[in-house]
Amino acid sequence: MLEDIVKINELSHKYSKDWAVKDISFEIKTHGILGLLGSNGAGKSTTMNILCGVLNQTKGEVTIGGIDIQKKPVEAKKKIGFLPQKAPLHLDLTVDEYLTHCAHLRRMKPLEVKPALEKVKDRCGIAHYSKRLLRNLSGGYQQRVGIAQAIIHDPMLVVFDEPTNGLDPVQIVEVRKLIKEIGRDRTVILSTHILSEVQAICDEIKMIEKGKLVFSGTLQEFNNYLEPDTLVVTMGACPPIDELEAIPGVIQVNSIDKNTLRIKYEKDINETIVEKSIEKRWRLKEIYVEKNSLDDIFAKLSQENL
Amino acid sequence: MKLIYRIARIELNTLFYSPIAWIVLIIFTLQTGNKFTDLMDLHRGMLDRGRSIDNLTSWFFSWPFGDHSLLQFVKSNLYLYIPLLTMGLISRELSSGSIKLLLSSPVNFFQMVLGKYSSMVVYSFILCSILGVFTLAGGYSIRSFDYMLVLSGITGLFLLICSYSAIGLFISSLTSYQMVAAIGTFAVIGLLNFIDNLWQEVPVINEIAYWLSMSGRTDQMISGLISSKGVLYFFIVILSFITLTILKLSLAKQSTSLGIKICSYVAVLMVAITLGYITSRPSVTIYFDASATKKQTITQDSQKIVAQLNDYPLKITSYVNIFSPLIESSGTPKHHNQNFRQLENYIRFLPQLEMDYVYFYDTIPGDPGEIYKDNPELSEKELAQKVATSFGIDFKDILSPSEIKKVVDLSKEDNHYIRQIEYNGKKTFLRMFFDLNHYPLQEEISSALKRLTVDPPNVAFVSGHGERTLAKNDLDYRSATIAGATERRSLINKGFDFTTVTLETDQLAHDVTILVIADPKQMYTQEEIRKVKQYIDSGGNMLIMAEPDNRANLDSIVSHLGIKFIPGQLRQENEDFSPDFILGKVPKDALMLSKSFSFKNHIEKRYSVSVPTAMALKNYDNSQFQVTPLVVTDKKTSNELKDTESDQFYKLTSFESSEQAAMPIILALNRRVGKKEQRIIVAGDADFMNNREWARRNVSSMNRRQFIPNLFRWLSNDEFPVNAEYPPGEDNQITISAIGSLWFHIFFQGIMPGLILVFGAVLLILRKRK
Repeated sequence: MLEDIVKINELSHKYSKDWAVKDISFEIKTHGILGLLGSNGAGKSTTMNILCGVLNQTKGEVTIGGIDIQKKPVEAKKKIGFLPQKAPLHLDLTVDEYLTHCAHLRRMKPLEVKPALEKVKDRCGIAHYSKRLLRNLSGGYQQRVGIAQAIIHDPMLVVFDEPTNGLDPVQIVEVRKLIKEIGRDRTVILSTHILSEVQAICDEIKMIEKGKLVFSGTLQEFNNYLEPDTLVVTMGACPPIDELEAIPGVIQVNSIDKNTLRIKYEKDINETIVEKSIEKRWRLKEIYVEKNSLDDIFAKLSQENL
Repeated sequence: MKLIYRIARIELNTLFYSPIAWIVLIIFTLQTGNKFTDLMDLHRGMLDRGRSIDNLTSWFFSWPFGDHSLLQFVKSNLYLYIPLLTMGLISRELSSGSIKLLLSSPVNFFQMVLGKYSSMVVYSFILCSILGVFTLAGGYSIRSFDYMLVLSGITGLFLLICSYSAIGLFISSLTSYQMVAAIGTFAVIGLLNFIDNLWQEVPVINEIAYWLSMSGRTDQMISGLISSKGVLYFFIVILSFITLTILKLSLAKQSTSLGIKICSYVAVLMVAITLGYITSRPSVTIYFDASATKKQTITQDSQKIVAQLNDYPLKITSYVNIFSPLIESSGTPKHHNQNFRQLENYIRFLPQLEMDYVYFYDTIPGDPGEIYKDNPELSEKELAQKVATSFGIDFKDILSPSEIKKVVDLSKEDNHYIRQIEYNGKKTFLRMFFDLNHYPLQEEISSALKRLTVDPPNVAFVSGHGERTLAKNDLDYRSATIAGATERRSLINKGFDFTTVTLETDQLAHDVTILVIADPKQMYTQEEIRKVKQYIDSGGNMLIMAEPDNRANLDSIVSHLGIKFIPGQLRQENEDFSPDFILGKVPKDALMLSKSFSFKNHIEKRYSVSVPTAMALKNYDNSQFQVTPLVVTDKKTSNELKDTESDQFYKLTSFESSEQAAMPIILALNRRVGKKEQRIIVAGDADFMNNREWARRNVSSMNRRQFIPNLFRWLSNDEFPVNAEYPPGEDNQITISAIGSLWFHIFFQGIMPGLILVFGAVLLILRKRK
């Protein structure tokens, strides 16, 4: 039987009185990208810091490739690459100097360092900046160097803590692409509070809220939570609310302004609304599905699981 | 190990890719270079002006007072540099978040902290290497340079920098603000240098505070003395702060209660203090004196004495009169550690030495001190209570006059603050002094210790015929003999006992070591003269001092020795003094008195011995004694007779002019009597050791400093005073010329810091362009 890549068992941690993370348990057995979702202060970073050995948990057990990170931290950490929220860069070093230093810190064999350095630079698209000081790189490239340091030693598990935080849209796209690529041949845990990021790159999702694991499943399963259930329609001649509520499938209709209504429904009624509008000359001007906000989902999942 | 090296290397890179490390190096080099060239100019100038300076290496590099010497100067500036270098070691990583790289890497805290610390060790080494350049320059320019002395000092500074660095490393781990780390490091270094002044009156705590103190630790090594406890102190400090740093980082990694955190830190400190206490015990301390002259070790003579005192406990009890003016500077409970430290050179050889204190109050005879004048309304007891309170001493612990008298009789010591050494039932006093130093020095301590191993020499002054006495009058001898606490050089402090005998009644007992007859005003009886002659014939040592006016009273005694007083009185041409004030020359033959280096030095520099109203001597029969002139006349001196009617002097013409140039005034006579060597001094003057000449400061005479101590050393058969002199260092010449000195200026104030500046600037500019 294959060893779990990551196994977290009843993980709890408190900084002072209150629990930052309470009884979290999950396992990761396959390669791919796991999105760790949660609102700010939910306990994502605490979980990741514990996972990477930056923090020692108050209770529970964390194993990486079957090695307990608290009992054998050095062995376990060899299997981890970590990019914290703020990339841990030495700005006075060049890209090569920094990555070489990171390779040595990860206890790579001296002969393996140079090939690994070239490979990771190519992979992260920073080869042409090898001799440049880190402080002279743009934010996006600094983040790429941060990612490079996390994977230079070819770890089994790579942990990215909000890797696109503070980047501009173009950089975000590039970094997501890079992470997706990294996730092809290893396990990546990605923490974020951006829903679109999760949808863009994650295969599997865990959601933490108020220190507890409130969701665990595939992207597909997660999307079910995101299934839209409201329409916003703008019409030149709005019908009475009662008439709309009489349409089968419509649960509730609220007026947003004189010409705009929010229709809560239980099954797909887009076509019905369009057809009725033509038929009854409501002069439909705009219709769109109102997406759930992540906060709504957090709230919903929290209510369900807490 | 490799990982530690990698972390250290990256830390050094970071250090040298920022301007601060270069700025510190440049300032350090400039300041040190400036000091070195200043010292070079100063000493070259002094030598050029004809001054002789021994131990130039010490003067240049390790003179302990103030910032005079190079290494002391460096030491006093180091605390300014180190916090600037250490402030970022960990706090930079904490603020930038790069600490997570280390924490998530397969690196343990030990490797992480040691790696960072090692970078500072390398930087310390670079700083010390710069000092090495100055050492080589010193070696090049000073003859017989004492490399080991300087190496010891640089080692001390290296350990000090390493300790400062460890403190800085720990403080840096406490905060993410570099400036706070720098200020915190300043504060802790300041505290550790100052802590020996705190809580010194609280038992046990004072021991801990004293051990924790950094001040003086490096001084010892700069002076050339390396002790295991000094070196181990630095290692313990370094290891403690490294451990505290590891502890801080590991505790920050987990949620631990404040109580556990405090307990952990306290446990580390307790272990450190315990280790420090154990390693600083005298019985386990090992010493190495690196200096060429071995000046940091008591002399061979002193060592021979203390070697005889190791069989039983040795206890020094300080009897402290709380009315003594010395209590403020050296007698209160807060001085106990300091007092113990003063004796460290002895404790090195006498690890069993213990110190005890007995406080008392009693009237100090003579001029009442300010305390009495300021509080005329208070009784002595009330006054004592007031003084005790002001010094924080419990009045219950202070003995009253009647109580102290039951313990020890201090009446002869005028109830002064005094110490008593006790060994195997024998006791002797060791005085504190009313001079700038206050403390007894090696000559006094070793002489006192020697009194516990041999019978001290008993100097017996003959009285009964108007002789000079041990009183305070100008013409008497109190200062030179029994002045005690007020005169460090007084012979009583150098191991001698003084008594008075009368020839009329007393038999000259066997315990008289030196019989002194000084200027009797009346004739001795035949019986008395017989007693003296008998004493001489039995081989007793003597000092006979005669004045021209009363010479006849001693004629028969000196003629028994083959010596004759030449009629007349010596007169010397002098612009400043009356003609009867004679400055006698000391010929090189006088070196037979003693092997003292200072005595020899004084003779070579032609210091005189002042002999007012003196007469010349003649040795007419040298068959019995070997006779050596100690003080002779010079060419300006003539022998004249006084006409008692007119009170005028007229020149005697009975001597050849060549003889006039060197007529003996004081003679040393020695011969063998049985197994013993008999030593007798005959002086044609009784004033050279009187209170007036002792106090004289208006001529360059050596009476007090050299002549009298060495005279008595010879008379006591070289037993006392114990020789506490060190051979003069051979490093007494600067071999470089003015041009060479100029080159030093150019190199140390221009080229060397300039090269560092250029190198650093180029490196930083190239880096910045990347």
